[in-house]
Amino acid sequence: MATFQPKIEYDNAVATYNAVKIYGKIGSESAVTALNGVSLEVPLGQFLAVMGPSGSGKSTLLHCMAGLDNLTSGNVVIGSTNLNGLSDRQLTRLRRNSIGFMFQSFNLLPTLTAEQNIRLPSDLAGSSVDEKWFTTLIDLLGIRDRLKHRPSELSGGQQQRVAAARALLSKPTVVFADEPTGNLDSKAGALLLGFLRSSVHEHGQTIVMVTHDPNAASFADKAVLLADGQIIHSIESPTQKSVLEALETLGT
Amino acid sequence: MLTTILSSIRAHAGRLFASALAISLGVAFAVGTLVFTDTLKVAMIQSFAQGDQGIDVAVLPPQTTSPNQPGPGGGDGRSRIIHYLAPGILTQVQGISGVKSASGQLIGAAVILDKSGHPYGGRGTSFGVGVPSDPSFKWIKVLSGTRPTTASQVDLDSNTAATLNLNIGDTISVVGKSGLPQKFQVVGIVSVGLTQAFNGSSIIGFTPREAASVTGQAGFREIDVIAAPGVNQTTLSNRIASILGPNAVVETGATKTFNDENAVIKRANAIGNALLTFAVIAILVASIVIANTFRVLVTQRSRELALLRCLGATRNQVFKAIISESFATGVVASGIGIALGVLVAIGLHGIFGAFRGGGIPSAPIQITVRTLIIGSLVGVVTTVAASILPARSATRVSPLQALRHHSDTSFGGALTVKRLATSVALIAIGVLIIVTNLGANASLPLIAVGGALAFAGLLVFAPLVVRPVMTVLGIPARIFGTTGKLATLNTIRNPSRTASTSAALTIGLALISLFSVISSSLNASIDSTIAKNFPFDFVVTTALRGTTVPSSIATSASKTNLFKYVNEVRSGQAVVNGKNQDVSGVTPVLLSQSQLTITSGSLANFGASGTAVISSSLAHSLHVKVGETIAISGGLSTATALPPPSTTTVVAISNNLAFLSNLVIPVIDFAPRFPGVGDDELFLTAKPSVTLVQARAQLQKEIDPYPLVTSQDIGTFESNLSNKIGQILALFTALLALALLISFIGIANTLTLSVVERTRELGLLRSLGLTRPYVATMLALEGMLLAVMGAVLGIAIGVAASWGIVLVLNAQGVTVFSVPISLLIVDVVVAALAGILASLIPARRAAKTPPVVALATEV
Repeated sequence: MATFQPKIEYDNAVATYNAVKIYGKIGSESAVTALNGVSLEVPLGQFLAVMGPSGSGKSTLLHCMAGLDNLTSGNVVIGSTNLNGLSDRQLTRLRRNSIGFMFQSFNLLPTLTAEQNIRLPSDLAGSSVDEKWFTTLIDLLGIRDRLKHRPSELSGGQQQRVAAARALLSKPTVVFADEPTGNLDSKAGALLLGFLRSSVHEHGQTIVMVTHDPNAASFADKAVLLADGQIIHSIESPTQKSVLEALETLGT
Repeated sequence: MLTTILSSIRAHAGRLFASALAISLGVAFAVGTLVFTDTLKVAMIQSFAQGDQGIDVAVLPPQTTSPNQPGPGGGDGRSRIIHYLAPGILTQVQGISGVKSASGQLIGAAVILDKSGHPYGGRGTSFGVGVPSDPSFKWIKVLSGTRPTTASQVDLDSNTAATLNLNIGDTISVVGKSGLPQKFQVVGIVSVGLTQAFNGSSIIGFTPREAASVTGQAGFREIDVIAAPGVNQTTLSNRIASILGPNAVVETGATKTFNDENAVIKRANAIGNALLTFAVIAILVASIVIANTFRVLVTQRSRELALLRCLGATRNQVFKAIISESFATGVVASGIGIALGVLVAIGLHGIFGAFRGGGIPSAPIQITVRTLIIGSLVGVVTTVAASILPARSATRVSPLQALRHHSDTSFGGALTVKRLATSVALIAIGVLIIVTNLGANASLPLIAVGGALAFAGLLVFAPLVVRPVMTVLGIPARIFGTTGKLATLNTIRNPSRTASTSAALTIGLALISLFSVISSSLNASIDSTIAKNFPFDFVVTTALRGTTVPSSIATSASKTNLFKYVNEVRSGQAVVNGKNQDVSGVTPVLLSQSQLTITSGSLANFGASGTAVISSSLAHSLHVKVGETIAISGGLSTATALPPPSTTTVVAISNNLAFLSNLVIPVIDFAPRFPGVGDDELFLTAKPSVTLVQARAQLQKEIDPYPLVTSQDIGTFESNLSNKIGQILALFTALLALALLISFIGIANTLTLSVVERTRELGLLRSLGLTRPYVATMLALEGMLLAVMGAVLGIAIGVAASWGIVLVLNAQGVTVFSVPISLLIVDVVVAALAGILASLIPARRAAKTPPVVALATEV
């Protein structure tokens, strides 16, 4: 396998270089290699889908790229920041300023209204909100009349759109989305994916989305396929068909 | 950020309710104590003010030395040295120029008989006083009727009159020094200003002359002086002082009022401090409950906290969020606690009134700003402090947990070197502090600190014993089959939580069992002391402190020829080598029968006039040895002319004179020094030829004319002493009740939280066919196991600690270590039942869990 030299690539929103993640004591029998040398550059303004079967390491890759988990070796660079050796405080600052998150189970705070949930990250950071962007977002997402509602009063699709607004409000360098359509019906899923794609194409947002749904991947600019902790396939402008074919070769 | 916290509190209000209640109760106790103490102060000051009202100069007996300091091994705590002014001083004062009038407070022992002829009020709560004829002396105020003007007339204090349903015109029987009842007619109802002696006592007011005759008390506690018009208080006070010299202490009315108030405040504070100890215990228990609640809440909300961390919250923000939440809880809880505190104050008034028998003075409830501030501070600071550790662990929640679908459920309780070392270190330091602070100048706060440290050490260790203890305790639970097994396993799955939930109860029960064992040991020691030292058949005593068994009874009992021994014990105060000292006068043979431990000398030499046995502590303080002499002078019980000093030879020294004074002289030497003083106790042994029934009947005949005198078989005497200790134990338990209640709230709380946490699991059990009653039974068993574990650990700690204390007290006469096993078993059973009771609400909730939630993805 080729060895990549870590380099600062300002054009990339996020990049990993020879990322290795081993769970358990290295060399012991219980050690599990989740990532086995993943190098991946996500240029600014790209919508990347990370695909792969269960246990392929796609979730681990997302966690490590987002600085939620440490690599065993290798590098992750977000913007111009190498995550290696960052303190908890520095990582927190990075999450505030440069990263947005979307989760399969929405993860809205049940006690806050939709609007409070959207503004939560900037409240936590104590930073001001770009009100124009806020308005644009809620209109694009069609949740203007839902702002005063609590999550329990919203449908799954609405909840996930609130979560999308929350992730995008601070215009982070990169948004990490973990199976964002996993709990949504196909119509709500399509609505959300359409929004995510337009945020990339029209507003220059970068998104890294983990999914196992070929249809979801078809909204992305690029799809990478993981198996056994390695990237084994990369598809530009994926379609449902090309993704399925690639997955099938995997299965056999 | 504030919105996040506040909305989170609103959402968790229910979960926080129980822990807030725990803090509220703790605060309520503290506030109640303060309110009670303040109210008591005001009531007592008001009462004192009545006594001091309008007095320009007060003449008091001289205080030759600091009064009543029971030393180790000797002081029996029974005697309070009371000084009197000789009657001649009143005449002297009345003759001083500038004195308009002067009146002596004559206060002695006398008791009223109720309609069935029994002395009213019991031991030590009744006085006969001389009512001054001049109403300017306001320590006695006539509420209705008149002052007694003839020997056969008396006034009664309003409480006694009301309790006995007596009115003006009624005839009453009063027993004084003679021991024989005398008839008097009630002519007035009075209120009596409080003095140290009058706290809740019943008061019979005679003419001053009759008071002296009935009570046998000639001297005065105090002489009140009203100045002639135009005479300055200070001038008069100085004049009187210069004339009376060292025979009296003279104070201006203002000084007297000031001193009385200080004395009152001191006494009220002493009561308050004792109560505050229990409030501190309650708050300590509450803080454990709070810490536990927050720890559980943090665990339950770890996903939410992880999300906040994902969204850019710093550790500091998470910490602040938890602390703010506990702050808000503390504020609300303190508010409720302060309100409840007023109720507690009323309750304390009732408890103390009941305990003292005669009631305590009352005044409008006093709520001061200080109380409010202390109450809120205590509540808020405790809550916040208790949540610091849980808040710190909240900051360690990894943001990654937000993305995982099941939270990590690895819990503490592993045997680590660190845990063991911490535990051992804490216990060692705690025990060291306790041991170094025991002894003569024991510092109670430091001992408490040591106890708290040692207890903290045990708490650190406790999770390690959860598994073995629960495995054993779970055996009886198996009769409930699978339900019992599940319940046992549920208590083991999170040992730290189980340990800290039980810990709250452990504190209470450790203290209760500590006290139970010590009082039981005390009883057993008294029994063995009496059995060993007083091998007699009967004890004759009197029902009223300050009165004695007329010496004629001993004389006539001896003459019946039915008794082998008639041993007298008298007591009084004399001056020995210049210091006030309690003296016992005894029939010499009593000592040789009593098997006292003699450290030097011999009892064989005791009995002749001029011999004495003293305690080793007195020998130490007087620097005397066997064969050396001491000078006994004075006799403070009466103010009549005192016999000249006599030289007495110490013939033996004992390190344990049981309940005799530190100085014991033969009754033949005692009688002339304390003329007219009867016996405190008479110990009689029947002759072998006489049956006990015969002897008892004869003795009863001898004492029959004297209503205050009672005869008991030695066994009854013992059990009466035990009853007193039992009463103190009851009071102690009552004061700990709140701490116990709080710990059961803690159990209910933990169960409720765990039910919330286990909703899915409960749904699963339900869908697998566990019926509602079984779910409820499971929870009840969990509650019971938690309570029993807390109780068992508490009792283990309490018994161990009391064993140490009994060892230390061995020198003080607590020679027997006795564990009241049946009482402790009752404690465990009660704890088990209370544990089941605590499980009722969570069990209802658990039983209501529908099976379908097992399938829900989101909890």
